[in-house]
Amino acid sequence: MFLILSFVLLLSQYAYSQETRFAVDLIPENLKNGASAVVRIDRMQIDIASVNQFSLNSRRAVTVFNTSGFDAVLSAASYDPNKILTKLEARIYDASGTLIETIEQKDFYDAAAVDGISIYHDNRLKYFNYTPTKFPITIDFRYQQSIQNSTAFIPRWNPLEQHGVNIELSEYKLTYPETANVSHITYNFENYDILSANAPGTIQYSLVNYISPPEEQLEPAAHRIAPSVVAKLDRFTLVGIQGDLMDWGQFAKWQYKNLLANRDQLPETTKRKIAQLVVGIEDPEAKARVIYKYVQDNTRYISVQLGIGGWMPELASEVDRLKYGDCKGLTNYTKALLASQGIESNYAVVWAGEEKQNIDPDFTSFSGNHVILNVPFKDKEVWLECTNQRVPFGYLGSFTDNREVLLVSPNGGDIVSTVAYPDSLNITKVRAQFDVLNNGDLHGDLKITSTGINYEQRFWLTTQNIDQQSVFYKTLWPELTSLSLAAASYSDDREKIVFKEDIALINERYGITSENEMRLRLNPLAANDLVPSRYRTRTKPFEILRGSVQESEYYIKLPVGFGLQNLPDSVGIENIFGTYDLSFESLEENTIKLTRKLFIREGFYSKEKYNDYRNFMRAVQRGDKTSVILSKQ
Amino acid sequence: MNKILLFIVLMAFGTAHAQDDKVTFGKVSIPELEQKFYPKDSTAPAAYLYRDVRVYYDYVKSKGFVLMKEVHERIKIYSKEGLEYANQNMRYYVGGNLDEKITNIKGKTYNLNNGVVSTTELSKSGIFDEDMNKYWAQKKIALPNVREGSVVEYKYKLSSPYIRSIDEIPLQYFVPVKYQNVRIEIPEYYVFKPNVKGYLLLEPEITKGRERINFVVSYTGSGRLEGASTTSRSRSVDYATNKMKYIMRDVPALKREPLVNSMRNYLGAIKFELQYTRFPDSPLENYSTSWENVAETIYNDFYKSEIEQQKYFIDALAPKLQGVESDLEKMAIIFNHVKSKMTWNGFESVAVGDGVKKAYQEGKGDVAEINLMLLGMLKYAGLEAYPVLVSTRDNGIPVLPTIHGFNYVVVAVQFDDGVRFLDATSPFSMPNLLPDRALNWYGRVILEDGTSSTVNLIPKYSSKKIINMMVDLTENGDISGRFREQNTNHLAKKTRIEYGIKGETDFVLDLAANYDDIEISNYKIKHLSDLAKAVIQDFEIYKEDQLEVIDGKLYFEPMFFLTTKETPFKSSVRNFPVDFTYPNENKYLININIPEGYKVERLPEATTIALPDNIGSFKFKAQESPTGINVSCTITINQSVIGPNTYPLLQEFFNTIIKKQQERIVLSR
Repeated sequence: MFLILSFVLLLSQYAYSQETRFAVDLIPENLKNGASAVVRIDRMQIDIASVNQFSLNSRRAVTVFNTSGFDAVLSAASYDPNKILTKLEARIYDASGTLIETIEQKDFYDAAAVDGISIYHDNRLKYFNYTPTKFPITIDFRYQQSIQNSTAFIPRWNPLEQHGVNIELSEYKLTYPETANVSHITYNFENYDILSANAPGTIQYSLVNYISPPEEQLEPAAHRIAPSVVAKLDRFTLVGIQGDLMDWGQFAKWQYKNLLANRDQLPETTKRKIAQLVVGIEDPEAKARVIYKYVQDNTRYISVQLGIGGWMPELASEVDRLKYGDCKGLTNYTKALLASQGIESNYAVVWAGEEKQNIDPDFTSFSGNHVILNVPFKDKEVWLECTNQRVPFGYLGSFTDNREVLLVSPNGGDIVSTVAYPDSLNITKVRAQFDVLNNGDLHGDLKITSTGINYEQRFWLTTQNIDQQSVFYKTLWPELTSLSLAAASYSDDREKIVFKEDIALINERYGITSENEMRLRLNPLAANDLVPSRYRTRTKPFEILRGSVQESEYYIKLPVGFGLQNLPDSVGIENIFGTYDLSFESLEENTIKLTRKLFIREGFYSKEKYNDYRNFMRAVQRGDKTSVILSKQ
Repeated sequence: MNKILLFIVLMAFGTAHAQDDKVTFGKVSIPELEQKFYPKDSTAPAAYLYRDVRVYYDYVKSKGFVLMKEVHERIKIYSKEGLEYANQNMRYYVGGNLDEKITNIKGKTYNLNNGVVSTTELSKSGIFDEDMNKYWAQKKIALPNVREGSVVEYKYKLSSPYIRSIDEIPLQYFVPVKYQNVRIEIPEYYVFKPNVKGYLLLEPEITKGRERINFVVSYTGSGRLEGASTTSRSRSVDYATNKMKYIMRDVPALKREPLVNSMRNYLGAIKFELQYTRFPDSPLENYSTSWENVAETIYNDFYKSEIEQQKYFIDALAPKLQGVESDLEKMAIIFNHVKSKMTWNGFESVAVGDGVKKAYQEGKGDVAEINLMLLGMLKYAGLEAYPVLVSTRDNGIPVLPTIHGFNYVVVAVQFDDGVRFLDATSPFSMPNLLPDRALNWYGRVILEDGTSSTVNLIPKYSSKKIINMMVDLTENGDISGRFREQNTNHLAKKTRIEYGIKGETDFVLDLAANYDDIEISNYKIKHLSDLAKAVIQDFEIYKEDQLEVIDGKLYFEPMFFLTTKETPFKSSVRNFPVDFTYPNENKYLININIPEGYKVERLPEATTIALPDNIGSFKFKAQESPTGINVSCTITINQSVIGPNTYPLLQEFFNTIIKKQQERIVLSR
């Protein structure tokens, strides 16, 4: 009898502790304050069984305070032929922490994982839906993945992946047997209180009671400021093939041998066709241009993610037949076409995206999400983006510029930098003649030249119709509210990377007339989005990812019979962020000349500097919006 | 319904000529390959040169009729932007006992090489089969060897065991169609009604055909002496098919327009709905023939039993109604009971999923469950209440009488002073404040005997936003002060719902962003759950750089960041009605304290303009006050749906508003 009693007692104690664990009252007040959701537990446990396999136990419990807080729940788990879901369950708790419902594995929905890019891949999702009848509730979602035959991709720890969601506990734990050599690296730990409990065979980190600041304008990319952990097995398996991740050289050699070698064969007919295309051309770079154009004119990008972990390119001969492929396939194909004419090139793995991210030279692991081609010539090297049908030869643009990438070659590999677009060479020059008529109508003739990274903001205009071009200019020049484009012609120097626009425009009633005067904004092309938001307390540093120069010279012919008494004051500002110079000059024939130069440097700045930068941009905005009053004479 | 049709502009294009321009699969012409742009729309990145769709019934011995669809499409790629048309998806249904199947996929790409046509076939590796979810799968094809100038062509067959439902057939795309031939051949046993959707105008050519089914009938004898024996005999049945043929030329690409109810309402397509079946020696089986029949079917088959159930709610509801006399009060009690008890699970439906009783027990349900339970309770309390069938804005405007023409149901309660519409899917719902999704012009109310009639759902009363702002303006352009915003009716509901979804922190962040990034402090919101009252938000604001200094004078817009910056009606032509969803009024009352030492030099003149037929009006006035300036501005839209013929006036109306609001006030020392 005593035994049974104590058992019951134990059971109820256990039940009690279970029930109250997720009580909303237990969330520290400062985490709960104003939150839509709070992460109670976010735990990743990775157990490496051998060089071939590992498992992931994921548990994420989130208290949700309103409908938009549901975004923090992350109610899906992925699987594929090598990644099996062995456990799947979601438990729902009410505000007091009492279990009110359990969603079992059989109640989960199944769907193809749509990435918005691939036409086909074998990733799938299991997910659950839950309609709460009242808030707050806590959703405790657990799943287990068993990864067979592959230890190349150990899940990374990115505890702050979601902006503005406060965290009670986020934990990463990785265990491994003595036989496996596991190493890891931590990033951006310095500004966070991250606890570590590493021991032989265990890597463990946690973050407790973290208040996550909301997203701020110009904040640096997560990989620059957010903490993360990347782990790897020095000896790994990728879908059955073993390899070493000791250093980049060896790894690149392995990659070449197992994923690239002998995948570059082309049919003889294609080789002959290419040979004919370049016949009579001596210069290797000129040959490469012709071949690159052939690729752009004859292929299209279609992503089909099958094959070895999505890491092996399609055979060049197959891409040749289908004329489509993903980045790996199209890059390998271009490489094969170049090689057929004796031009060697290197397959290069990169983190693509507007926010520059390096392949870490000091930590060898499976990295990168895109592939481009590096072509070395005698006195220069050229980078080719093989998935885009429009960009000029050798132009990478903001997608892959200025970052460290891994070159993969038969003899090994190297970490090298892609082409950079220095701020002082990203130039847009505008030279314009503006005529203001008596009724305020504005007629403008503009010549615009763009180089460097600024080229990519414009060069696609040639493919647009006049309506689309009008929309582009209306967005660019908000002062011209009734802009109509009278003519637009373009010249695209794809070799020198210079884009020229020649535009004629009319904007009715630009000058605001009243009684005996006209109010006129002297810079019709002023932007209105230069000033970033004001924050009572800025919490994060900020970054100007790419700098640029704008140089303008406008000749503004005032309407007949109107005159200007005083020229506005000139402006000259110079600081760590750049320079701004604006000046006005009276010329013959009732004409005012406006000269403007704005140079914004590329840079990474502390949060303390944010207000200075903002004030700089406010001054620029004010100068750009300088108005004058013309009076009838 | 006639009124709606008036709004829809019918575009003229070549149609229904008798002869067809049959194209053979695999035979492409050199001019097709040489063509550099589509002659009637030079900016089109691609165009359907040819579409041939045939829907028919095939008799399969062991299965009976099978619904077949054969599709053959030929597409020209004009520019690199059109390359995406070389990838195609074809969905098929796998969610029932029997699956649909797609077979006989063939595809070819044609290119011109030195004046010679070269052909590349679609191979197996270019065909993908994807299970999307429990109900749908899709075949995806990626045609090979495609570049600018290529012509791609593909065909496939879809066979479906679901012979009573013919999928909608699209007739229009976001690129032009040069020629299409769509045929539907249906055995006399099935009678479908076609409905052409969108603003394409066309009539089918109708013919009759004859078909024969041969089959074997077996008779098994059971004579006592002979034992069992089987004899077989061949039989055949002759039947007629009704054939419809739509031939269309030069169908323009559909272009998107702002403030349209739903583009889906306008995309050209044919829909079919089964009206009845009539097999030999069987009685006619009615499916749907008229709006009255549809309503009656829905009422008798789906609603009656749900409405009549009372047991499940009586214990909880009866005490609440004890001693209540007034019908209005009873309605309020019941409405609140359902709203507080039930959470909507997000599903729109005309028929219940699990039924009212189960939904009530779980506290959550779909639209039909929640509103039919509401209806049941209202009737239990002796009120005169009816279901109203609705097609949501996303579902389009029902033109053809069909069950699928409706996907939503609300409740109408008749009082001496008029009808009140109820929808209990949102806790912030009020009588006569239907959600935007249900405000799709008309609904159909069903009486107890199953008869029905249309009712106008668009509210006649206005939803108002009244803003009072009192600010101090400094010499360097900062404004700071109090801001009070009142929202009534639909606008109040919208505020309550958004606040509920986002929570205060995110709601206020978005509010600040909507008002040109102002800073908001001391935020307060009132009457969030007091639904009969306007929602009132009250806070302090701060904003920099609100004026310009020219020659020592201060210039600023009288409404500061509240100025309407741009018109939604930039396009010079308009094909579709402009839909404001409900009548509304925006009223701004602004007091500006001007900086010391300055006086008012100029104020914008007062203005009043009105649209014809009382469609809308705009009033603006700025006056000096003892401490500065008072500005008032009112924009009223009385009619929620405005036809394209009034579009130029509407455009002018908004341009005037913007111009007036942008006139500066001038202060001088």
